[in-house]
Formats: sequence, C-alpha cells, structure tokens
Amino acid sequence: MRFWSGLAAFGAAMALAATVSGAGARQTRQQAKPAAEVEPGPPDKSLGSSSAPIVMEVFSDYSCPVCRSFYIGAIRPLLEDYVAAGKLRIIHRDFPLTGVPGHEHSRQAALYETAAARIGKFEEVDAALYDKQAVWSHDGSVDAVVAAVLSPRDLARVREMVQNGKVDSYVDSDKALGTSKRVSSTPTIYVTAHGRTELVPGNVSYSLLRRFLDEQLQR
Amino acid sequence: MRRYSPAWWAMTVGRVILGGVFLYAAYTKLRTSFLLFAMAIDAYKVMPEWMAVATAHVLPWVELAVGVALIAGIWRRLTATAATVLLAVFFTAMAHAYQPDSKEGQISCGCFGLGEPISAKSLMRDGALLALSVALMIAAYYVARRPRPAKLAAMTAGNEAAP
Repeated sequence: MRFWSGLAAFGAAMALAATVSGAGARQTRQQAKPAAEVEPGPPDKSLGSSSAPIVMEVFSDYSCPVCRSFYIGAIRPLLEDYVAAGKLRIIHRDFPLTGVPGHEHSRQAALYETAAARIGKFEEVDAALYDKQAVWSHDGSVDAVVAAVLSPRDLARVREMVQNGKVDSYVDSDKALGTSKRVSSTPTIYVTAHGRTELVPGNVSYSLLRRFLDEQLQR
Repeated sequence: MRRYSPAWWAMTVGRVILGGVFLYAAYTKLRTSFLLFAMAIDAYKVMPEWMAVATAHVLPWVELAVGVALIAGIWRRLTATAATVLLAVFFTAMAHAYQPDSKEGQISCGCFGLGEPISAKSLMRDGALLALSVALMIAAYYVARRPRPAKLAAMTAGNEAAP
C-alpha cells in the first residue's frame, strides 16, 4: 500500500514537474519572441488623422537648415492648431541630399527616423533630429541623439534595423517618389485638398500658410 | 514703319510672343488661390507680407491687361514700357534670389505658378524676354516720333503750295 501510494505521489510529482517545465519553456519562448520579434510593419511617418481633409506632404532633409526652420516655425504650430483638431495630416518624406557638402549624415538620420517610424516612434525621433540638428549634422552623432529619446529596448530595435539594412528600401522609395515629383530642393511641400494638389514654397511664413489652409478648409 | 515690311512683321511677332507669355503667366496665377502667389512673392523676402499679399491680388490682372494690349497692338508705347518695367523688376528679384548649386530652400521663381525654382535657365528666359520687351519699347517710341504718312503728305502739300 505504501508502495502504491509512494508511486502515485511520485507520478503526481513528475506530472507537476512536466507541467511546470512545459509552462516555463512556453514562457521562455514567449519572452524570447520579442527579441526575434515579429517584423515591424512599414514605417508610418505621418502625423494626424488619415481622414483629415487636408494632407501636407513634406520632402525634407534632416541636415537642411531651411527644413529645420520650417519644422520649428510651421510644423510645430500646425500640430497644435490643425493636426490635433483633425483638420490636417502631415506626411514626412525623406529626401536626403546625399553627395551635397554639409549633408554627409543626412541619410543616416533618415534611416534612424524610418526605423523609429516602423516601431511607432516617428514623432519623438523626428523632433529630436531637428532640435539637435546643429550637433549631429556636424559630428555625426545621430545614434546618440536618437538614444536620448528612445527606451533601451526601442533603441536596440532601431539599431538592429539600421545595421541590417531593413529600412534602406523605404528611404530609397521616398527619394524615388520625390524625384518622380520633380523635387529638386528641400523642403518641398505639397498640399492636397479637395482632390487638388498645390506646391507650397518651403520658406513660407506661418501666417500665410494658415490663411491658405483656412481658405482650403472653407471651400 | 511701313505695314508688312520686315520690321513691321518682326515687331508684330515680337508683340504677340510677349503678349502670349504675359497672358499665360496671368492664367497660371489666376487659376489658383492668390495666396499661393502671395507665398511665392513672400519667399523672396524683399517686401513686407501685407505688400506681398496686395501684389498677389493685383499683379496677375496687370499681366493680363498688358498681355491683351500687346497682342491687340493698342497703346504700344505704354504697354511696351509696362512690360519692360515688369520684366526688369522680375529679373532683378530673381537674380538677387538665385543661389547656384543650392539644394536647400530654393525659391520658386513664381513666373508661371509655383513649380519652377529659380535657375540659370529661368534667368536666361527672363533676360531674353526683357531684351525683346526693350526692343519693342524702343521701336514703339521710334515709330511714334516719326511723322505719319498722312501728316507727311499734308506737310509736303503745304510746302508745295507755299510758293
């Protein structure tokens, strides 16, 4: 009897051990999964609702001072006044001026920003790159600038995508799109409203841009 | 200038070409929001914003009027002078804003809408139009200063009758 009860206890203990180890292995696999991770989707480099009545497409280079001025002087106020209200959607397109003196790190910045956009961190990295333009465009410290606004885990994912060439094609396709639209300088801005696309000057004043957007909204 | 003479033909063709360019320039501006043209003018940073807005309201209509008058051949001295002044202002502003080899913040010339950045090509085109306009203006003043055939005949008749 003691033998049978001992055997039963041993069997129960083994079954429990097997269950626990199986669950543990599953848990380990689940924990390991994010590292191997489901491949992130294509980058979303837009700000605002997809149902906004006006769409602004900005071809930009992160090293370009005029692009920075446009970001600080127009895009930031637009985010508050129009994007937050669902009136405008801003789409960023990378147009790194590779080969132009002073733009040696533009492509790297575009790659980091595109990788960040693939994990939903576009806005943070976009802002950081423009804010710290004077630093990284001079010494190439793109990684450090991006590291300051991302969590270690997100930064690791971004670095992995940049180093393994997983975002080059997206930057290239943005540039090809710009070339097909005859973009020759940055920033080049297209505003689409009511099915009609207009080219807007890059160094436009915010007050005139506002008037134009209001006019489009009132149509 | 005698009608249908080579000089007359040259002047007529020149006027129609220049008038057509002015009409096209006016059309490209009037078919879109005047604010787009105001932004293009403002981008030159040569005048306050309110003046850029006012200019964007008025200039396309002036271009339209000059274009029609040039093609119709009316008020030749006035229209040729107006075209010359306008083109000289455009050319000076473009030359001032031209940044050769720059890929950042290029200013749109604003000549025919907003798609064309200021380039050596657009400057040469504007320069050629300015030269044509100056030639038309000189010819218009030259023709106006010469006595007309009817007047000449009257003068000749008067001289013959005098003795």
